[in-house]
Amino acid sequence: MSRLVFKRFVMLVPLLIGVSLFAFLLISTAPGDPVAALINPVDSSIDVTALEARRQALGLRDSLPVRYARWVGQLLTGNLGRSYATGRPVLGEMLNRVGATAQLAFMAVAVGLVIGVLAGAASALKRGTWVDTGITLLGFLVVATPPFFLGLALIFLLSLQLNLFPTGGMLTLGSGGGLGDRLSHLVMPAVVLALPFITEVTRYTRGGLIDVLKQDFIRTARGKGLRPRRVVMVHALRNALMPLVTITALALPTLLGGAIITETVFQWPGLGTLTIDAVHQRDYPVILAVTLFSALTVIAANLLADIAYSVVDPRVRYEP
Amino acid sequence: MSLAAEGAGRAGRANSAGPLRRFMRYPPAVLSLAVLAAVLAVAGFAQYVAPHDPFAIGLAAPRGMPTSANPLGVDSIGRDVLSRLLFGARASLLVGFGAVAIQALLGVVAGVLAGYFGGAVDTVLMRVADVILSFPLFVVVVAAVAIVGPSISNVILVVGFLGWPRMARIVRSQVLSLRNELFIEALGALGAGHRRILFKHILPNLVPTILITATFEVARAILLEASLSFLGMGVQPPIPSWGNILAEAQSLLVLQRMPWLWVPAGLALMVVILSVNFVGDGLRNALDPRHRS
Repeated sequence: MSRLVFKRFVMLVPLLIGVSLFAFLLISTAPGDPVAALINPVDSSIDVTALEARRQALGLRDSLPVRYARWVGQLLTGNLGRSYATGRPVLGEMLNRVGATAQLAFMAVAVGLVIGVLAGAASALKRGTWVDTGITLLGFLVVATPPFFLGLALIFLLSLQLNLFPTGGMLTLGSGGGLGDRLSHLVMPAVVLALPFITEVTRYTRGGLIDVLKQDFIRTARGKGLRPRRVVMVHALRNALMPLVTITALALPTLLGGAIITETVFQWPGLGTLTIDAVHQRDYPVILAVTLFSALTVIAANLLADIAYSVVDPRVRYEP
Repeated sequence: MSLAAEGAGRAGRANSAGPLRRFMRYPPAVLSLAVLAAVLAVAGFAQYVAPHDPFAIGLAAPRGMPTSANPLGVDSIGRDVLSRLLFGARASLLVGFGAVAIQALLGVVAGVLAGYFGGAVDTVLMRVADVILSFPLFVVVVAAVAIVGPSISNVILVVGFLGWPRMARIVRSQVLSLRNELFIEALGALGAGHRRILFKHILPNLVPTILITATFEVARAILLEASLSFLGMGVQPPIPSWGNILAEAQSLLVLQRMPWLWVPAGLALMVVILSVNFVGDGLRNALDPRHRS
């Protein structure tokens, strides 16, 4: 097992090089540079030769491969550069925000799993009835709903009309932010972020349960007189839910992309709003760091999915 | 497990009919196709259908109530919202079809080359695809648009050039299984060249897969464009897009007091995306033999 995991890690090296190269090349095509970002555009007294000297000193005139190598070297020591907008280290800016996004993402996963498994199981057990058709139709509708539109609609209905939840933010300012207050701020953004995940969980639960219920051991369980509820809840569902381990791990990166929209609509102070602020300010070091971080999350999630699945399902033997 | 598959399963005899018949037997897809045709017509003839010039400012008081002259009211700088909504269909369809045309072209070429020739070509193309797929699409699209600048054509190019790997993977796996078929092997033995085998025997067999995949990608691209425009990173005002019309609702006053300014754009997006997905579902049911229950 550990040798296989080790091999899987070794296989990551070329992928990581490719990903870092891609992100670096993407950002290196951006106009402007750190020196230009520091000067006052209205001030015409700036000495052009001094700027040029500064660029030389910072190594901005070096060739692309040299700059890439130096950038990777800094990356490995945790140096992501400084934000053009605030002048503070990018790593610190990201660490300040990552907690809020993680909170939102985990809540979204929880919401998605609970709603998705319930809907999927209902759909499978009532297969072919109006319940099944209704849930499938609802799935189509959910997939077609732009998350920002749902977010706005929820704010309009539940916050502004019914006054049930706050319109945005993580906590009520000045309240100290008790658990109840934080949870009520979390509900709507978590549901919006979970949207595509819910339908996926529903689909896999339904398909998995339908397959499992046809199998011999379920007939055996029924045959020995177990109550139907116990057959479904304990024997069938347990096996049907195994693919969800993979689905959940693979959904994490999608949640990161979705967070950009959801956090903007609900003014959630996470990585998503950091990204959008950076984009509007053309803060390239932050954009580069966030893009790279999202790719590392995807790679880690894929790895996790592979390993987790072979742990959950002993029939799977990982052969690289 | 789509509705179409369930319906076909129950219909029983549906499997023996031709693709067109099978498509026509699935009402949601037929209805959706009609809806999309209508949207396409509105987008194409927007200047004749729209009651006003979508760029004209000061027709009525800004943020005015819906009236018979302005059925969906007037936006924050005094433009007719209904006219902007009708013209906004253009951005969605242009990006949806434009980006997917690029995706499909790149994806099919890469997938066919990788699958058919294998070896180093396969390794290089698929490693590049792996690298691009390691970035969540929305994140890397936002980053790329931030660099090249937001506009309709840039959104089309960015989504096209970053979105092809999925098509490439699907096409590649299909080509791999085709290449092992006896009839392809026989063609090789009979002396048919690569060009003949690829264009006359492999590509025609890929058409259903490409069509189905591309249809679902159109829905994704439309959603992507709307999301980008909503964030101010896509279609730039004054050019209307459903996404940037919805951006007006980021003002709490508009959100709360003027739902007619933003709800129709959201519903329009839902209807179009829903229709494209239903058409994709219908196509899959009609063309993909494995999908029929």
